[in-house]
Amino acid sequence: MIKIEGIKLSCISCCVPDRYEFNKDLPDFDEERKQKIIESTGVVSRPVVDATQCTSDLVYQATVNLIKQTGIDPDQIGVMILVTQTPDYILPATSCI
Amino acid sequence: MNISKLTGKDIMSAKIKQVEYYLPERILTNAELEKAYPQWSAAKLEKKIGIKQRHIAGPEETSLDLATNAAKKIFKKEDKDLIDFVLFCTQSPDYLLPTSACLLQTRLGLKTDIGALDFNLGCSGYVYGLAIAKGLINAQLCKNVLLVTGETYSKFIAEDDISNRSIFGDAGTATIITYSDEDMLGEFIFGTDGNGAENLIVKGLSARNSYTLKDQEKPTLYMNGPEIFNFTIDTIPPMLQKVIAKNKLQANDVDYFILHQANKYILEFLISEIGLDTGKCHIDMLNYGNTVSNTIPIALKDSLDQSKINNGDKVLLAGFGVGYSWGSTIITI
Amino acid sequence: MEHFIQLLSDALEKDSEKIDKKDEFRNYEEWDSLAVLSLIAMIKQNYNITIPRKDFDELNTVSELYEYIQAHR
Repeated sequence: MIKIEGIKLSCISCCVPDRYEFNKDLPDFDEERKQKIIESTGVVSRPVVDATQCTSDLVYQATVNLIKQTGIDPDQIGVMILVTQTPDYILPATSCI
Repeated sequence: MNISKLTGKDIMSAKIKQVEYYLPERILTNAELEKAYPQWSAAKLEKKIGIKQRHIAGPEETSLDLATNAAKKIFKKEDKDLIDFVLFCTQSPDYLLPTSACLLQTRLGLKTDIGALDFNLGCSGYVYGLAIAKGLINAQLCKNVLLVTGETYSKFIAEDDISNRSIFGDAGTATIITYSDEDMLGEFIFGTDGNGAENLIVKGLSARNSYTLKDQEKPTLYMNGPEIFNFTIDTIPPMLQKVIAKNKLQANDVDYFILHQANKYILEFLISEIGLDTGKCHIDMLNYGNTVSNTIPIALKDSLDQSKINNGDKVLLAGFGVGYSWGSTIITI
Repeated sequence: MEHFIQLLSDALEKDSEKIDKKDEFRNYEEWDSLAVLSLIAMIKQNYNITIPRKDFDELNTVSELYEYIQAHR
């Protein structure tokens, strides 16, 4: 049986929201506890969407960045796969949007 | 090896091995709807839309339950340990997370060294599921795919929405796609147009708009029937021509057509517009309603059981709707 | 216009004698969701066009519908 070759990961692009939440500002924890959380998780801050932003907004911007970086013709894209557990809507599929 | 030079004999091919479906026990008849909505005509609906009754999931019954019960029917005849990948098509999952396919793996007692994922498509979902299964097998990433569909649109429909209540039904199906020496799943055509997103939508159950809904407003299904009809009659005839051509066939070579069983009116219109032989076209939503991604596998199973299709037959499958998303292929039985 | 009224009569299952070009078709007693589908199908089959929803929402009378179709076929 022949293996299909000639497939590669061509480019990766990312988009995170502008707004950040900081673990040093976590409510309901004292300073010592907050420090321990930062040390054990390694997480100092987390980008968080605002009330009007959703997954499709982030994915859209990441894709725009990708197209800009690579110069790829969007018409060359044959399939789009969007992986999420927080879609814009339960239906229709966010990849259609 | 250059991909373009590969033929069906070079790569691991795929075929459909088994199809089963499961319908919830509760039946909502036209008579019951007419009693609740006296101004609504059951006779007109049955005559034009072709639906007499539809099965509705119970209050605690979910798409996972329906898909599980369909899969259990298959595993009375097949060894579940052969399954090395699960695809679950649903737009009404038990949870936003975790993945329903993971839950299904445990419910069915499948092995743990397998892949499993959900994908969110409606009426086009089964065709896309076959394509993904074919790709996984062609690429030798697995050998036996369990493709399930499970849908409970009824849970999104408002109590007073007689139009959508009369159209949609719930169901679950299960299909095994396995490796094969011969390429029994043909070439595929895909299509997507997000401009149609707002014409069949549930707002407020996920991230978008959820903060704008008042507490007492329960998110419900909205469908713009006329716009969807417009989309269907513009998009589907060219898609069918393309998929027949891509499979290097003529229309006469296709033995049977299974289009998404949306409603009788749309199907009869399409059949007439395209000029198909009505004897070769499946129209049966009488006792099921529009079960979304379940309609094609239900039709496939019924057609096999009723000997409308037999070994060696070329069957065109076409799914289209919510998204908008559409897809088609020609399979060999 | 006469031919169009006959087609409209068949689509809506309404007596053609009771259709006047000034009528607001949405006020017909035969007007329901199935009538809309029949109308879309009739227009596609006979004039080979589909009317986008935003345009259709602006059309109120039989004659407006007829004129739109004539302008876009």
